[in-house]
This record gives sequence, structure tokens and C-alpha cells, in this order.
Amino acid sequence: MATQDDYREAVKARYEFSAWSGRVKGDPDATRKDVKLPETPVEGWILERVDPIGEGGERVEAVDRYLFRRRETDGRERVMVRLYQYPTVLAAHEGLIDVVMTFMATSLPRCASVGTEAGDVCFGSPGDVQTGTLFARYNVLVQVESIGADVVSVSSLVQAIDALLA
Amino acid sequence: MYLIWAVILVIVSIMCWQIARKKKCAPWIIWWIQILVVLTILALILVLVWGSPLAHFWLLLVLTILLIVWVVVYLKVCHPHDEVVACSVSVEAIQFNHNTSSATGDALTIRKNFTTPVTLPEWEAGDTQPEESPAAYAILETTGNTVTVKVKFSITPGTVTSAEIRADGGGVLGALDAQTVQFAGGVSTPEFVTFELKNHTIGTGGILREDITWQWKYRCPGQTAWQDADATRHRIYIVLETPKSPWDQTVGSTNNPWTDVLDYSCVWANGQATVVGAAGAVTQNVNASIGLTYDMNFGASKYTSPGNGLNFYCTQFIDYLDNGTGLGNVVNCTDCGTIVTTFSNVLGCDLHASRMQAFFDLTPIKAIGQAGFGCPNWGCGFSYHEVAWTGAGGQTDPIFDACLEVDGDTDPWVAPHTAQLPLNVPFTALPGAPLPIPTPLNANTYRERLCTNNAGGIGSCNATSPWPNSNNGRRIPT
Repeated sequence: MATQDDYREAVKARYEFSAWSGRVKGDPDATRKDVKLPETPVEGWILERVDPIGEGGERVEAVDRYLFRRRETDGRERVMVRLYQYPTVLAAHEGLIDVVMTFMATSLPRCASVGTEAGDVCFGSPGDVQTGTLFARYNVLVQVESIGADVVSVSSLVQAIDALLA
Repeated sequence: MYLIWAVILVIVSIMCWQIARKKKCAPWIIWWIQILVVLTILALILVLVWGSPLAHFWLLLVLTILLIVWVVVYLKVCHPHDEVVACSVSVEAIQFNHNTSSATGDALTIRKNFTTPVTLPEWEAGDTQPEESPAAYAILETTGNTVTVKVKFSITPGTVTSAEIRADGGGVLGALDAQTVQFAGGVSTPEFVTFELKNHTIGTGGILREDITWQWKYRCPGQTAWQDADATRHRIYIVLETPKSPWDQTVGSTNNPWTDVLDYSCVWANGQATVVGAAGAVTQNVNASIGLTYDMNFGASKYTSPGNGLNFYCTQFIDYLDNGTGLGNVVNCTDCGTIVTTFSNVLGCDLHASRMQAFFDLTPIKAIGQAGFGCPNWGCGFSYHEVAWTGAGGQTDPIFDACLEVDGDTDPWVAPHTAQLPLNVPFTALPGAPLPIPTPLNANTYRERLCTNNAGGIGSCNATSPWPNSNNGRRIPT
């Protein structure tokens, strides 16, 4: 694989990019602007901190990193949410490829195949517990990962964030 | 004649005694001359009442020699031209990095972390903890050169114009030999006085982090006894060479080496005297000592910016090391390669995080934090892998991989597997070898022990390059 572009095309093929790129489940012209997540997106989860990340690639307009922790677990259950905001749906979908290109995983299952659903396009983690999810809703890409000492399912947070964007 | 000699001895010894008393010499000097006075008086009496000329001669000769020796000693220790002055000396400031354009004769330019600089002078009156006064020295650059610190003193009363000052202790920087410091208006002149680290042992013990104490001592004009001044405490880091990229020595840069990083690197690589040894020690600690575990579901980076890009979230990683939070303990190869690169290069190594690609099949590995050999949850393959690479990141350049252990035995493609952490192992010692490679495999080689022994494994895994926009694999600590 000679170049970064070759690698990108190979990743697109593995994730069947052409089958979902540019497609949305709702209003095809809808976009979301200046999205902010609430301090308590789901009961029991509280915002630990939020950091704007100044660098996210040429397509992205803004990236914010949120850290949430479950209130009663003394910080052992924590989740990181990276929220990428793009100018267009297609840019968000290209951004999804930007992200999965950086995964060592050779491919990821579609969310529907692992019992969850979110966004216009969604990829989850292999296995029974959804320790991470990557989905795009309109022009927003959301990456949710369990990062605490105790591994947790991120499904409830994913559903809450997706509902905020829908 | 002996009578005259004896009388002269008595007179001279009494005069010397009076002078010594006036000068407030050390008690032993005064005792010595008092005894001589008594002995010369006794000798005078003996000369008067006893008639042995030979005995007179030897007795007076011995007393004369003792008196001459006393005068010589007196002149050396009592400084007859000095007046005895009571004074008090204080250390006001110490500057270790006093030449920010060079690291050959002083300390490196460092900072505490991304947000907090190390202000110069590093130590000021009121600092009590060693970490409040950090300094780092590079072995390569200082070897064979005169290394100095600069110190500012004050003295009371302000009319005193000089004092002798030295410092005991000092650990790796050694004691500071006594020198006379001039004062004007109660402040040392020049304001910062140069002390040479004549007794330092920088380099003899390799990489080091040490908290040192200097017990400062002074002697006012005319005094013979040393008095304690302040005790100053400092945290000293010894690294192999001037830190390499992403670290720099530009004054005010956030890429100046962070003491928050040196606090770990210098401990992990304590005693190492070579760049290979240092990078190996860092890699071993990242792999096994700090609780990191592999992201078995995504293989996603947590500590680098989007796109495996420019920034290493080093502040968050230090937070993880310090108190277990930060961005957590689940990492991927990009994280591990970046951590090893950053924490090794601050010691003077010259690594960069670079990739091998693409979509290659794995033989079972022992991923960081995992109990045994196996494959990630998505299957036995990597879309890419990233390690800390030496040289130009080429096919035969050695690598350090904290992210996984390979099978180090003569048949890495079948069980049982013998865990080997890749430390300074050539990416491949068998470039272009026909596949499958026959067993036994005795070569010290990385790729062949990582991948399946076929075109989809070894044949698809090649050294490529650092990620685009990753500062050539030396991500910027933020």
C-alpha cells in the first residue's frame, strides 16, 4: 500500500463507504450547529470536564472532548466522548473514515449487528458489551469510549447523545 | 648568653600571647602560646639556677623552634591584618541554567509542564521543597567542561565587604569549594557569583533523578570557624544528551523538557548510560509497570489528537500516571509508540513513532496488559501498527514496542509462545526473504515474529512512515 490515499481507499472499501456515504435518515438538508452536550446526558452520569481540541483535520469545524463519570462509582466508570462537527453530512462521513483509519482494528461491526442503533451510520465494538461506538448523525460525528478502570457499556450515553442530535 | 636568649624568649612569647588574645584567634592557638610562655619562664629559671650549658642550649633551641612554628601557624590562620567582624550571610537565589543558549557548562532549559514554566533563578529564598527548584544536566554536553552555578548572597551588616562561602553536600552536583565573595551594600558583587561544580559526579551513574541539599556555610572576615547559613534543596535530573524532538531548548517554548515527564523518565531509566538502554528501560516500564492495557475492541488511540495527529495529550497522560485518571489506561499502539518516543527522547534518545502497514495478519501476540497470547477481539490482524522507531524508520532499523510482546522462540508461528518484548530489534532482519520462512527462526527480527508466515502476514507488513501531521512521529506534548 504505497500511499496514505491508497490506505484510505482500502479503509473505505472495508467499511463499505459507498453504501452509506451522504445518506441520512431524516431531513437530507438538516445540519446541526454549535452542538454542546449537557452536563448530565443520562441520569447518574456527570460531566467531569470538556476540552475543545484545536486540531481535527482539514474537514472538521470543531472537536470537543467530553469526559463523563458515573456519579456513584468514585471515578472508576468513565466515558470519553469526542464530538466532531463538520460543515456537511458528506464531510462528516469522510470524517468517520478519518477516524476509523486510525483504528488498528481491520474492521468494525455495524451497530445493528451488535444489537444497538444510533445515528445515520454507526459502528460498534465486537463482543457483547458495547465499550465504544462511533456514529454520525447529520453533520456531526460522535465517538464514545469507555475509559475508566471498570469497563462499561456506553449504549445509554450513545442513545442519549443521538436523541439530542436527531 | 643563654640568659639573654632565655629572656628574649620570654619577652617574645608574652608579646605573641598578647597579640593572639587581641586577635581572638582560635582557642588552641592561644593555649599553645600560653604553654610556651610558661615553658620559657621555666627555662629562664632553669638557666638562672642550673649550670649545665649543654642542657640550656637544647632547651632554648627547642623552645625557640616551637615559638617560630607558632608564629608561622598564627600568620596562616589568624590573618594579622584582618579585623574580626561579626556578620551573617544568607543565600538569596541560585541559578542553574544561567546560559540558555548552551548546555555545556550549566543546566538545560526546562519547564514544569505545558502550563507552568520553571522561572529563573530556579531557587529563591523561601523555596523549601526540592521540586520547587529543578535543574537538569546533559551528560554528553557537560562531559569535559567546566560546569557552574550562579548564586546571589546578602550579608549583614551591610558594611561588611567580603566573606568566605562554601556549601557541603550537593549529591550528584557535589560540594562547593570555599571562595571569597565580595559584597557591596549588603549584596554580593557581582550580584550572581559563579561557583564551579568541581566535585560533581554528573555522568558517573548514568541517568538519575536526585533530590540534593546544599548546606551553605560562611566565615566572616577574621573568623576561623565556619557558620551555617541556609540549607537549600533542589531536584536534579541527569539525562544522557540534550533532549531530542519533540523537546527543544528554545526559551519559553512549551516543548522545553517537562519536569513532570523527567520525574518518570529518569526513574524508569535510572542508571542507564546508553540511549539503547534508556529507551529499553522506558519501553519496559510503559509495557509492564504502569497499568496500561490494550484496546482489544477498536485499537484506538486515546492520547493523541484526531487523525493520530500532531498532539500527544501528555498532560492527561501525566494525570493518569499521577492519580490513575487522565484519559484512562486503555491504549493502542499509537499511544504506546508516542509515549515511548516522548519519554525516551527527553533523556536524549532519538526515536520517532512510525508505522508498518497495511491490513496484515497476526500470529498470536501478547498485547499490553493482557494475560497471555492471543488476538484482538476483531480478529488476528492489524490495519496498521505503530512503534517507536530508530534511524530513518526503515525496514532494517531497530524498533522498540511497548504495545505488545511477540513470540521470541525458534517457531513464533505455533504454540507454545515465548514472550519477548521487542527492545532495539531490527524491524526485519530478513528483508525480501522468500515465504514461508523456514524454522528454526533464530534471527533477532520483529516483523517475522509479529505476522503470519505468509503473504497476508509478513508479506503485507512493511515499514511505511509516520502518520501525516504527526511532526514526523514526534508528537507535540500538550
